[in-house]
Amino acid sequence: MQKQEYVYVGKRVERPDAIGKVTGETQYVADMNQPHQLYAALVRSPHAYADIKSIDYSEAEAMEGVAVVITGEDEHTGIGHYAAEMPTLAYKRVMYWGEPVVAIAAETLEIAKAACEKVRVEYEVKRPVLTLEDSLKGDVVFHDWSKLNTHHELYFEQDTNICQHVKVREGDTDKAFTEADYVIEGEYETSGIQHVCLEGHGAIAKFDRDGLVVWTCAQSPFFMRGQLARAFGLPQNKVRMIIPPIGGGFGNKWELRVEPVVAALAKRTKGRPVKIVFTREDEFMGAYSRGAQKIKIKSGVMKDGTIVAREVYNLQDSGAYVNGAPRLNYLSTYACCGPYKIKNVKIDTLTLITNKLPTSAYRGFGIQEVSWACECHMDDIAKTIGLDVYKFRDQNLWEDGYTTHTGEKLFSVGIRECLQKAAEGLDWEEPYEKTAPDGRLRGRGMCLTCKITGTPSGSAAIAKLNEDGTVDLLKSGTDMGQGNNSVACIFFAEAMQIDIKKINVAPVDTLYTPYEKSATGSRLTFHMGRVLIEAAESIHKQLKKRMGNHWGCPVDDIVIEHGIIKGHDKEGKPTELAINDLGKARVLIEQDPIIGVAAHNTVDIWDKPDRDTGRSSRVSVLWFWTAHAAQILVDPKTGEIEIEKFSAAHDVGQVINEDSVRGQIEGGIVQGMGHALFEELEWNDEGVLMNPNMADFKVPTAKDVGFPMNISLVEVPHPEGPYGAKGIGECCVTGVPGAIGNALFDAAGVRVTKIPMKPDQVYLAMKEQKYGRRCEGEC
Amino acid sequence: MEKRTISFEVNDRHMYMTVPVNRTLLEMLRDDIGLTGTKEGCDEGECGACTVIMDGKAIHSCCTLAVEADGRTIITIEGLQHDDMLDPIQQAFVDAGAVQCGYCTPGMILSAKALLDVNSTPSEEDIRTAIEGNICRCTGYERIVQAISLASDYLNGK
Amino acid sequence: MLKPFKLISVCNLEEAVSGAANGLKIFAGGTDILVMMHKGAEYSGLADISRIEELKQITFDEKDGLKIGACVTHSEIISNEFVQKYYPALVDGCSKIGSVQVRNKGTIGGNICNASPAADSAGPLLLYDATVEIIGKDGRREVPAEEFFTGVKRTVLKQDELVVCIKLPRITEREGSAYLKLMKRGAMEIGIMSSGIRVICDENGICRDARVTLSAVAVTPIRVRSAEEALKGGKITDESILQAAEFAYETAQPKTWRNSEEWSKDMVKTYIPRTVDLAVERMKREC
Repeated sequence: MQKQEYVYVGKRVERPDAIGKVTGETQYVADMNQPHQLYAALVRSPHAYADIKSIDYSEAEAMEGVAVVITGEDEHTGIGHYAAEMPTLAYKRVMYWGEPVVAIAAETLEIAKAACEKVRVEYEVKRPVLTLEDSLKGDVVFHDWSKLNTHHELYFEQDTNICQHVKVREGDTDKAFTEADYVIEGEYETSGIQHVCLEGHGAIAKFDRDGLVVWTCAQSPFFMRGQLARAFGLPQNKVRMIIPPIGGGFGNKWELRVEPVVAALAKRTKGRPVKIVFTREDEFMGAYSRGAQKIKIKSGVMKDGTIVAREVYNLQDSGAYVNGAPRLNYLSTYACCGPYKIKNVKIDTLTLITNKLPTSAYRGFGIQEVSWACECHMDDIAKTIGLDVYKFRDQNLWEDGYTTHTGEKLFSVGIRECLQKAAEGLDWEEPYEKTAPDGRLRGRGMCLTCKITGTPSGSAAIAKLNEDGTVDLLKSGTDMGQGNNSVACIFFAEAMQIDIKKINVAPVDTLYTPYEKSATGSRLTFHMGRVLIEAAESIHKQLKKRMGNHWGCPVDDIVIEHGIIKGHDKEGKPTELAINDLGKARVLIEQDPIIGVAAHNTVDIWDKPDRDTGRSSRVSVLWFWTAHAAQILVDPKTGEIEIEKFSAAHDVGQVINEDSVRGQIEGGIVQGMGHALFEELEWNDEGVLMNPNMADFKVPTAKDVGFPMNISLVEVPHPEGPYGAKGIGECCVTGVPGAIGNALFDAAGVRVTKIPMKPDQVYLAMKEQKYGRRCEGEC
Repeated sequence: MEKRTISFEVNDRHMYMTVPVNRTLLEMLRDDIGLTGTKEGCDEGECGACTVIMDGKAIHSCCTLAVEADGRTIITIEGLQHDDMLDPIQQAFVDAGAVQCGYCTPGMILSAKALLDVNSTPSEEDIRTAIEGNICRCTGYERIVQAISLASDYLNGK
Repeated sequence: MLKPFKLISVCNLEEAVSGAANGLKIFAGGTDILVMMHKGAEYSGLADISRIEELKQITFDEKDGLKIGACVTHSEIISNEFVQKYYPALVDGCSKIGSVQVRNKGTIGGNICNASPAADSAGPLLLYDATVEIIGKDGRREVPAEEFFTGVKRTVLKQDELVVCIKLPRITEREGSAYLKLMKRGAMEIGIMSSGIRVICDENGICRDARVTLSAVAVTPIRVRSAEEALKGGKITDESILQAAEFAYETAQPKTWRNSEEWSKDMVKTYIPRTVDLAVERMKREC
């Protein structure tokens, strides 16, 4: 594809939302109120697993100012991505510590909270199932899968806690292992973590004879609308989702969370709106999380470094309910062998129910975990056989035209260039001092990531060309900080050849803005971009017709180039008009209105994977390719890791807004670093979260970073992508733990197999190390 | 609940308010005065989203009682802009691309202002210390640190 | 959202004492109390002492040393020229408390009365032989900082008492001190283990006196006298430092769910030498 010269695409463009955010004018859900509104508060379970014997809320209900009290008996309609399963309020039993049991709406938040304290719940406490192994053992089976009302196909195993089992079968791994020069095994773990968006969940619901209106910070307004409509027995056009700007999502705002409970309360308040805003504690007790994983990998490798076979057995914690975890299972299964050519592959990914906080999407959606496992394993293999970690990867890399172990012929594969660039960013070829003057040990590591985006999925856009030549853009991709509105303006301005300042992006509102699958999976730039370009092209077509009428010129004679509409008058005298001058020229007044509409779903290219083998000629509309590399120092006397330099190379297809894409990557590296070094949800034996606050659940501060980040933007265009673009959202975090873990392995010869690599764990691993470099001096 | 009448200045405006003593400064600013630019992120002094400037110092408004504002001068994010002109710090945040979701931004800008008001040429270390209590989950802090440095240039006429 | 409580703003120490005697919780910067109240702690009432001028003074006198009022904030301590010059370990400690916002409101009186074993102002106070001046119904009394703490969140304060000020005697001619805090991230950390060192030497480099403190590894901040003895009486050598570190290590008994206790304890051995090095370096710089 010839590289084009663009006006906006790939340039630094100021975000349309920046001014409102620096002045404090931007109104998030928590900042909004509706007339005559009530406030909601929740009674949460103090137990991880218990039967509810009785609930006495008579005292609460009698309090002055309390409008309505509901329990699971009133409202237990199931919600969930795959199955109508997670009750709005706990029904007959509680499945995790913090599960909402009673909801109260009152005149003030103070009254609602005080009323919550008056509720008496009697529990019969049971022993919770907290580990993946215990869940797999199945002494307690929590759900009867066959009775679930599923709306997505669920690969469950009846009479077990396995809600999803995805398999890949290719070749004969047993045979290949016997023929391999080396068979190397490893087991790797990741902890449960949380997104910690600065803005917690919040929503306001209004329920009256016109239906349900919900103001909420949602990444997936239509997906939520569908579920709410189903749960409340309403047609979809009686459920309206209004989405203000979002203060960070990272996946936590993908699925319904606060919406059903305020809707359920609002249903009983005679039209009065009900507002809820999660506190930080609410977030840790009752928002979504990222589940722990335990990943076993076994590889058969030849002396020359060819990987001939691989088996992956991955246990994933879904938490108390199914929610979106099966989706994570599916996506991670396709990424868990890495971007490597392997002929014999066997993968089993099992999603298990435990008595922990429900899990859902979190930036990278299972890929960070499997990248951690796969890429630590790659370095373990290299070390065992004595291979160079770069060359070992390079020689096995996927490339254009290669058919993967799931039967997909690849194209637009930018992984090799990413590997090269990430290595260059660390001066990989240059020798480096293995020990710093202060005695700390230096090491380097890398981590490659491949990821698919959820397919099939649909997008739509409406562009209204106003009489004065300005445009209102209607699309439902929500902006949670990633800069989607800016990207939308760039796409549309480029395609329409119009001044970007003439574009206004409408707020997302399912009543007006058209369908969008979700702002997840790094999918928006690609999917939304395509329909925006199509909408602009449709406007051009209509414009030619209007200009033809205006000039008396046949439509076929009209061309639009570089923002200029060119044609001729009745006499054949050439005439032209800049698109930016449409308003001034008043040609759009008293003409047929111009509206550009475009809609598309990727179902046309999708080949549904085979349930038993995972085979699919095209599992996803696009793959993301990433290489991360880290240089670290580890203090053998404390176990503290300091990142000296970090290098990230991303195949984004085509940069759209350079500021945004770099900002995403910088933020992703630091978020990934938090996962790698600090962050962990810590549960005690009763299933109570020990650190439900930001003092003990540690995310990086400005003092933890400041190391140089060398970012390379690789542009291997996607033939179906808008201007060749792919996406960036998730893969900026996915390789960070692996790169740091491998750098630690290089520095100290110690393989820490679990993230986060907290200093105490690193120190103890080094203290007890049986092999590798011994730390100098006293340890 | 016991109430008190307090007098204070917020964004150059003198105010009298009668507030219950258990009201936090954050709640008074947001719910009673309508200055919603100040955000609640954790309600325990761990995230910095609620940062405002009181008598020249950055503080957590979530861990300050409204009555503590009696006789004091408060600056919130709404007090920075003058006649549609962004404050140089706000402008620097826009120019440096330091804004993503925006939820930490008001607190971050006020921590920066409290620094730049007393140190117009801060080092990178000074900047990082000034915002060490302001969590940002989106940007990785790089562009925020650059923005504050740029703001210092703007303020020094560079 | 805070639960209802009574608030008394006291104008002088007498009112404060009578408030305390009536069961009110003394409230200054609020950085600990309001966090605890947000988490559900209930107090019948608070006595706000933050506007009592006497408590907000920080003064230095060549003869008597430093006097820090209970309501002096951590930021004020860090930026005080005398503290910077003579009591660097107190700067080390106070600058690691919370974040700027916390240090701007949090007070030294509050930090010690909250009596966390990890309190970052406490170790340095022990290093400098500080005394705590207390006022109560029976008048004023002084208690050595080391005796002030009696357990986790417990002090010698009786119900009617509050802290007026903290006095740090003048330091000697030839000495160096330092306080190092082990943290899991770069800011806003509760100490895991912190070590304090103060060495006083004669002109020949013989260590005449020493203070060794540990924080967060016992129920209170502690002095380790065996380690102090190990440093005293000769030049400070690798051997004497290792010996001191060994004694400190044996004394440490960390109890925590937040990280491995073995690690916390081992870190004493890592941190004591590093803290001694910094203290000695500072001493050399001064001489």
